[in-house]
Amino acid sequence: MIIFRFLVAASLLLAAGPAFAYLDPGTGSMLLQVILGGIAAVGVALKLFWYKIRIAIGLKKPAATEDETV
Amino acid sequence: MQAFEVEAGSFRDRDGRIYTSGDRIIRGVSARALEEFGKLQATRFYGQFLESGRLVQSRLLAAEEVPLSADIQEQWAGFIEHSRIPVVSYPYEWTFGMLRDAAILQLDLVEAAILEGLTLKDATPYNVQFVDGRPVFIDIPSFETLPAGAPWSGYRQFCEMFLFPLMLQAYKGIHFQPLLRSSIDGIAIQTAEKLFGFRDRFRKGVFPHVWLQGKLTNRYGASSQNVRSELKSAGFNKELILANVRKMRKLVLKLNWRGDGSEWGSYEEFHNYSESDHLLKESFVGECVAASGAQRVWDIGCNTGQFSKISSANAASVVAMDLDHFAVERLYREIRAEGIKGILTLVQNVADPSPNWGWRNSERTELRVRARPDLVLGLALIHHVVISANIPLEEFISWLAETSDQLIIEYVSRSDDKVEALLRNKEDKYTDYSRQNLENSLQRHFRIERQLSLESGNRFLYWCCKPGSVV
Repeated sequence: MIIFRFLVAASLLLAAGPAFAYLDPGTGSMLLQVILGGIAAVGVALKLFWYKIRIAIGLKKPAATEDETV
Repeated sequence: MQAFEVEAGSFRDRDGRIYTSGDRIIRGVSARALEEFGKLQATRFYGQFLESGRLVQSRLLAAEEVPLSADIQEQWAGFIEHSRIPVVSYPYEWTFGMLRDAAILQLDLVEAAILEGLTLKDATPYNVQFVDGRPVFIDIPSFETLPAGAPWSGYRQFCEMFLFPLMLQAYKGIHFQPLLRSSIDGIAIQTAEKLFGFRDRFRKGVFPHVWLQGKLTNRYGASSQNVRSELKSAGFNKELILANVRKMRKLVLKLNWRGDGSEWGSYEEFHNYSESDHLLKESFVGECVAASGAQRVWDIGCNTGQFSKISSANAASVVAMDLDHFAVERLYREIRAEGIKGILTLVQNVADPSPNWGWRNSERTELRVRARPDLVLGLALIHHVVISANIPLEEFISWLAETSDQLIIEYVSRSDDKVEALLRNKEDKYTDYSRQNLENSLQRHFRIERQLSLESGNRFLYWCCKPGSVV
């Protein structure tokens, strides 16, 4: 579980460039909830991870609006 | 019609506003908030928390019951009346144990709400008040329907307003009150990251909530991605919120502060006057408070709270305050454990009291604006104010006279060893510190009703009333 969490955390940290904290709407705090969620979070983390890989290799465009489905 | 005032601190939530008049607290709410209130009332936990006194009593007013002007009535879809909190207090006046109990209440409410399809949209200790030594949640419009796939929206605020202050106190012995008093939104993640050093990362909760959250916040702060919608699509669900809230609860319960280095934590055990003087002082204070008819008493420099307890036998509401955090913490724990009613414990330095601040300097107010006392106790206090805090004696008495109609004050003479200790390594420039000067000053502002000299000959008690005040 710890290794799994480490991987998710590392992938999230590497996935985006540095940003300016004063603009932050709490995005980092939302993502952290997936890392800390334990067993309940495994499925969500994997999906999120898979989604990010697809964006990274250009198979997917990032979601831009609240209602847009992936 | 009673004149109602808008509560200056209630502007942040666009879905409601508080109006006060005398003992009445009325909240105007939007159509949306009104609908959410209906859903809240239909839950099981609402009744349970009301019954245990952990939620403020609230009642929807019928249109003809609303005592507000027509233009205010037009602004809102409905009006909810709340029962009044005797003395409103703020987290920067609380002790560690009070902030921790408020945190647990917040988490318990999130858990109960999530289980029934609601959530709390924020997590601020300003939504919690203390009555009879127990936390009560007062912000009913915080409850709203949990949107599908939404994360715990109050998580970050919970960290900045509850968790980081508690961890700083428990792990590093840094008093959180000055930090919360200088920053209305609490301790920002970026600040917490710097306050906790490398070694602290090995303490429970610091690595994920401070370090990792800090790093993720920096990485994703200005992200153009819609993380909320990504999370929803990835199947984020309420089980995940529950898991996080329950873990947080365990973490908060494990945080403990033992209060090293407290000067006054056990003052009563070695006070420097005899047992018979002690009894004389107790009966003098008890009799004067009873005769004063005062219902709202402040005990400034309450120490162990012995005289607060004596006062609460007659007064409905006693605020026991001291600048020593651990002394107040011990009193709070005692009040909780023994179920003592009518006393609110606050960490408060009379020489540097809570200011008017926040938006327009009126979002948070000084204590006497929130609850003016009828009687102030200042026992074994004046030497600290005049000699340690360097406030001129006449200044202090005139401030007391501005604050309250009645006063019970103790003079500790220069030959008392507590005063000698204060002066030992100081240049004695306190020429105004004398019994004669005090009596003159008291007579300028009050009428001395009763006085007592203790047998030691070093301590003198005065009960004073303003001319014209009821005795």
